Amino acid sequence: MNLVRLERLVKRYGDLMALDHMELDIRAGEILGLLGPNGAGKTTLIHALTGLIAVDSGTIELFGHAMRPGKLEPKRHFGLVTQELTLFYDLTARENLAFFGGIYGLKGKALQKRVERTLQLVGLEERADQFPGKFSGGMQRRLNIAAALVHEPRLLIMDEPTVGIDPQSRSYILDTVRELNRQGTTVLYTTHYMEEVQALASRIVIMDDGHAIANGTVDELIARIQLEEKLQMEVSEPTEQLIEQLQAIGGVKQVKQEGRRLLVSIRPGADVLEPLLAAARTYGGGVRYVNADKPTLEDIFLTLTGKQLRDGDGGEAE
Amino acid sequence: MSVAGMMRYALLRMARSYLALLLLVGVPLVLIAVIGTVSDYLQIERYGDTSLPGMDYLAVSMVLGFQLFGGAYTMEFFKSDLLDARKWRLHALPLRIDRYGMALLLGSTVFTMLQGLAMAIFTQLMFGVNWGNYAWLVVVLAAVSFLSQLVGLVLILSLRSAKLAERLSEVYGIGSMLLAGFALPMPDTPLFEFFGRYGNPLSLGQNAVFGMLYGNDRLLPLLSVGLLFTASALLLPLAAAAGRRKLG
Ligand SMILES: Nc1ncnc2c1ncn2[C@@H]1O[C@H](COP(=O)(O)OP(=O)(O)OP(=O)(O)O)[C@@H](O)[C@H]1O
Ligand SMILES: [Mg+2]
Repeated sequence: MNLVRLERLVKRYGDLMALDHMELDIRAGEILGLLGPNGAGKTTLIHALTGLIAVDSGTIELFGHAMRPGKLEPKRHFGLVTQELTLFYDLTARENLAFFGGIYGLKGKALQKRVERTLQLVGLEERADQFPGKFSGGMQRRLNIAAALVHEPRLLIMDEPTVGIDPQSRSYILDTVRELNRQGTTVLYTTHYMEEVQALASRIVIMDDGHAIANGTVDELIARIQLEEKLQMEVSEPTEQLIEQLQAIGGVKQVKQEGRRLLVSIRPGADVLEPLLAAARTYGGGVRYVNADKPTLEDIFLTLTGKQLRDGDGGEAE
Repeated sequence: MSVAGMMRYALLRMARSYLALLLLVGVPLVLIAVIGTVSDYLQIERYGDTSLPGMDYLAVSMVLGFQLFGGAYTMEFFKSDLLDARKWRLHALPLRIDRYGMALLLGSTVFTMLQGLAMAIFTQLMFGVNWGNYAWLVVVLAAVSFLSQLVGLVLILSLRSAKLAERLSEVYGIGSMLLAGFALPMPDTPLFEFFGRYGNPLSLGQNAVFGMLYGNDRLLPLLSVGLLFTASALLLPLAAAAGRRKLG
């Protein structure tokens, strides 16, 4: 079943098409990773599907019903983790969660219980009575997530929930998301960090310039995009004859030589390791080192968009 | 959550805005204490033909005057909750934004009134200021505070720049004090005379308190409070329209 179905969604800001015929499905029970460079339209997409902004055209279906601004009922069943920290800095962590829980109609003991459980879930029970301004960046992010969880939503929408935080907080958050998913929460997870998507997501959508350009599991994407695999090997005697022999192997596209090192490009899916090694033993005086590089999500992304995920860096932690 | 429930959180947060408390309670109390003690006039001819203790005139005018700046709460809370990044979170909740806005508006009104009331009690205990009937005082504070919140609200909702809105709300506060002749003597012309008596919220508030205490009848104080509430009633639809446009 699809919790979310977006069809041909268009959102214009003046001349800019922030969403340009965007399509997206979110299936019940999955963690969908949404990847896209700065300005791709990820936040706009999230705002559109949650009814926070009006779109120019297209279909938005949330929990099986049309969603539009002003509709409150569907809002009971999702939680939105905003890209920016949107906590109340003049309320303690516990009061923040009590406020948000209260808006969802929780009261008294039930509310109190839910707040404690949520604090525990994000590991803030010991800081419950402090103001978030006193928290580290990672703890603020965790509270920012908790605020979207008090009401135990069916669908958790996370807009870059781990920007600029320490590794412990990050792995805590990833574990939490995994745990929630195991308990049945469907997750839309937007991020710049490839390794998060690779670790979490059961399916990936890559978007750029306001629309989806790829959709599938990591393996499916690699297969679909037909990225070539690269193999490096070092041989004792890199002779002309060896290179000729290697190039003759079916599936090998190209062989480059750098001293004793040979860089072999291989057609995707070609099974060439054995013949390569055999040739190297026969004509190269033996293999001293082999290293095969599987294409990563990073390569896929770069190939598809021609862009790095984040302005000025390769998607590593800040 | 009920509007009252949301108001409770707003009040809690206001009680923790220490800078605002310092400016809106600390400053007027210091001014009252310093000016009231230093100035040598103890009996002055200030309110119509009535003479009243200088300290009383000063304290009542100062406390009512600072109600005019209470709109800062409405402006600050609307800005941080419904205009800045936090708006995305609040809009993602199953929450009618007009009800939330109402809670902020009422919370700010009540909190500003409570500040006024606290200062009134303090000046009565410390300096023996006569405030008259406290129930009536609460009505007057409500009238001045509510109007000032609405002025702030209309400004923050209809202007593009929050900075400009804040400056203009200060113009409203300081301008009213000037028109009331509280800070400086105003020119002695019929026009200024009129505005100095009925044409600004501080004078209307003064009429309401002093008129009840020293006046011959209750017409002027009732009329003054009526005018304050009328002004609010005129601003309410403006605020609602601006809110619909700006907050969606
Ligand atoms: N209110 C707005 N007015 C004008 N342009 C906007 C507005 N909101 C977004 N945009 C533009 O729409 C495009 C998509 O923005 P969006 O915030 O959705 O991107 P994003 O993928 O979330 O980027 P990031 O990774 O930086 O968060 C950008 O070019 C942005 O400048
Ligand atoms: Mg974004």
